[in-house]
Order: sequence, then structure tokens, then C-alpha cells
Amino acid sequence: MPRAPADYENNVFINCPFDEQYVPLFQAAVFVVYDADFRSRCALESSDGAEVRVDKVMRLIAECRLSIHDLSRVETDQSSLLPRFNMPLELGIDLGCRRFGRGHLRRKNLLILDAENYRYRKFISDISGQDIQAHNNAPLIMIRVVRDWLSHQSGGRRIPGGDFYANRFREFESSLPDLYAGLKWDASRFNYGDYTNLVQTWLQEHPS
Amino acid sequence: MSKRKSAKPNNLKASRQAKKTNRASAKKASSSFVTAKMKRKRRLAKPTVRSTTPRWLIRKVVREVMAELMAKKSNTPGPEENV
Repeated sequence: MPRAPADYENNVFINCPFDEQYVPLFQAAVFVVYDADFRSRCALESSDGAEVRVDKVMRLIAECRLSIHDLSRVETDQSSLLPRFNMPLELGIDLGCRRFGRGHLRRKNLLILDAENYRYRKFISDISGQDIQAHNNAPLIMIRVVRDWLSHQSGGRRIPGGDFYANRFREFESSLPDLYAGLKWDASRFNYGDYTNLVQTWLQEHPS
Repeated sequence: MSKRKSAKPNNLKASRQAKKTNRASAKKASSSFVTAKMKRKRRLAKPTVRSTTPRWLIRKVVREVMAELMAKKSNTPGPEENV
């Protein structure tokens, strides 16, 4: 039987859109994952041109016990009038991994998110039996939802309430423009690697 | 003299072995007494993704911004103004 990779228990795979409007929600999710003492993993973390994208996603899914799948952007594209199916596809891979995988893969736990309550029933009714949470496109609600889910995954470790993380995120967010300016980073372009390193360093300097 | 010569390598071997076992047992002991706080610190110190900016620089800027914010909050002059 394959052995669980290092940090498997604490790895959180984030399957979400990478558009500009989504960045504040993504930043909030990454922040609360690190502050709750887990590690975020995402398809943006490596840019190996030789690795096929779906292989990269499957590798990440196999390396993470926990996953967040956000289906809030399954909308028709303005130009092509076609929906985006990457997120539901990755959710399907993860559900299959949990169902048909062996050993540690059976212990996988998923958080499925959407923008509004029960909207998913109109486009992916097969997951109706699952518990799907809504973040209302609000970063602070995202923090609370992710925190509540992580509190069940912490293995007995005490995790502070959603307000605690929301306040810390607000504090971090307010200093972001100064931090980006100090590091000479382009604030208009989100870089996952830079952002996670900044979050980790900020949390090291601001222990809870 | 001959006694010393023959004894030295054995002593060295023994001391090296003792050092190795000591190190191993110390490592074992320390890992079993790691607190959750220390684990968190270690986890945060280990970057998940490679950044284009070195960690020391990020830390330096975070500390500077933090100090500025604290100075603003308490209405006292910041470190640069003191100089």
C-alpha cells in the first residue's frame, strides 16, 4: 500500500478560479489555512511546463488529505458563452480518489463551496447529498466557513473562532499595500508563491 | 608508546560511536517533547512554494511595516524618525 506523503495530514488543496475578482477570496482562504496551522497547496505553486496540468492536479490531490473546491465560478464565459468546468472536474477527481483510492486516500475530506446556497443544484445536482457551503463572495464569510471546516480536521487541536481569524486577516490585509510597496511587488498581479511566503512570514512575526 | 598507539584508534572509534548514539538519542528525545507551538513555528518557517524574493527580505519588510504601524498607533516617532 502506498505511504502517505510528508505533511499529507495538514496539506489543503485549493481548487478555485484564478481570476482577478476572485483574488480577495483566495487570499482569505490561504490566510486562514496557514493561520489554522495547515498548509495550502494549489496548481499555481509550480510552473513546470513539462508537467501536464491534469497530472499536476492529480499529484496535488494525492498529496493532500484536505481539499477546498469552489464552484462559484461555473458561469458562462462572456465571449464563448460556455461554462468553465475545471473546478467540477477537479472535484470529481478528488471524489473518485477518496472513493476508489486505498489507505490514506480514504481519509480525504472535502469542503465544497459555492457563491450562494443551493445554487449548485441547478448545474451539478449529483452532489446534492453533500454539505455545500456558501461564501457569498465575501472574504470574511470565506474565512469563517473554512475555519469551521478546519476545526473538524484539526485532530483535537484547539482552533480559535472565525472572528479571531477574520480580525487577523483584516490586520494583515490593511498592511498589504505597504508590504507590497516595501518588497517592490506589483500589487495588481497576484503571485501565489510570493503571497504564501508573505503570509507565512507575517504569521511568524504575529504569533497567535 | 606502542600501547597508546594501538589504543588511540579504538578510543576514537568508541568516542565517535558514542557521539553518534548521543546525537540520535537527543534527536529522539527532542522530537518527542516538541510542543504544538514549536511545530507551528517550524511549519511556518518551511516555505511551501518558492518565492522570487528571499525570506530574509520579506521578514525585514514585515518587521519594518509592523514597526511603522505600531509607531502610528501609539503616536510616537518611528525608528527612522528617531535616527
